[in-house]
Amino acid sequence: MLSSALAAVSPPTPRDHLLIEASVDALTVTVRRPTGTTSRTAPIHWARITLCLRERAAKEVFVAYDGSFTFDIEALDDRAAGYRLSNWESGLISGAGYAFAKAQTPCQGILVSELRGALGSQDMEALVLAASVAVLQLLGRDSSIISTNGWTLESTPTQQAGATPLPTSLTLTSKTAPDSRVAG
Amino acid sequence: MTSKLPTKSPLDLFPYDQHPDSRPFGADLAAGKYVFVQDETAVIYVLPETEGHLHPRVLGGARPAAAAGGLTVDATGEVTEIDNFSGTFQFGPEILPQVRDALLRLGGRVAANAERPFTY
Repeated sequence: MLSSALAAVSPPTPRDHLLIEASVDALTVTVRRPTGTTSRTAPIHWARITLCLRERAAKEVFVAYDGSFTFDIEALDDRAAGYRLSNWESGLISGAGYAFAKAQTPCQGILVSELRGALGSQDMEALVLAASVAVLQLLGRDSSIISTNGWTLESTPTQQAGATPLPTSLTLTSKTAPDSRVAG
Repeated sequence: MTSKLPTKSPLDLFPYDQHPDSRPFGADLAAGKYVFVQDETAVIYVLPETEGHLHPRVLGGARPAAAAGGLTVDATGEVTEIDNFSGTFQFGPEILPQVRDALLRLGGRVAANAERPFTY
């Protein structure tokens, strides 16, 4: 899907990144916390969201879910085990709202079709990060302004069933096209 | 003030430490964008908005809040924008008058059209 969506590939920038311009409906962002030197048996903390931008009237909800929405987060501690969708959604709201503010665009809405992962209660920033990066990239803005705080991040343009997205022009920064990893 | 304001728990319940740059609002606040959280005694704590998930760290400890959002201070020290945007607390725009009153009581100046209501 990515290759068919590519419209142009420009030469490497001074930062040695490739700029890939594409028009996409939605973006899947996956974040992982490196295990580093921790035990091999330690659980991997990760999250994946798929979302697109949507227009919304002044009093419509900020976060909407499409008909194929999948919610599957494995709780990695007792506090997280008590979390419901509304708890995890708070991270999406924080991240997406921050991204709209940084982009200085009118606050649109987001349509979410996937929210998965394995997270502890200290990992809300993973969803904040994923949502921030997704919104900035869908707005065609530089997502490298978002601190990854040690999380690795991968983004993939995708299609979203049931979406009525705004036209978006996505620029991915990648050190190794066609892999669309955006930050280490 | 003797009576305490009604409060709401954060949706991110991890007991983060209070951010070292969090401080009570005052008339000496430098120009910039801030996130804020009002505690149950009506004091408004502010923190420069440097990233996207700061509200849990304004008070820290997963403490409940009476209001939360963002505000902008201009070069003259006037609060030019107040909003109720906080993914962590998600208060409605009904908190905005209470926040304005508190900012004035704490020595601030607030522009007449500062309120920016947000719908979740």
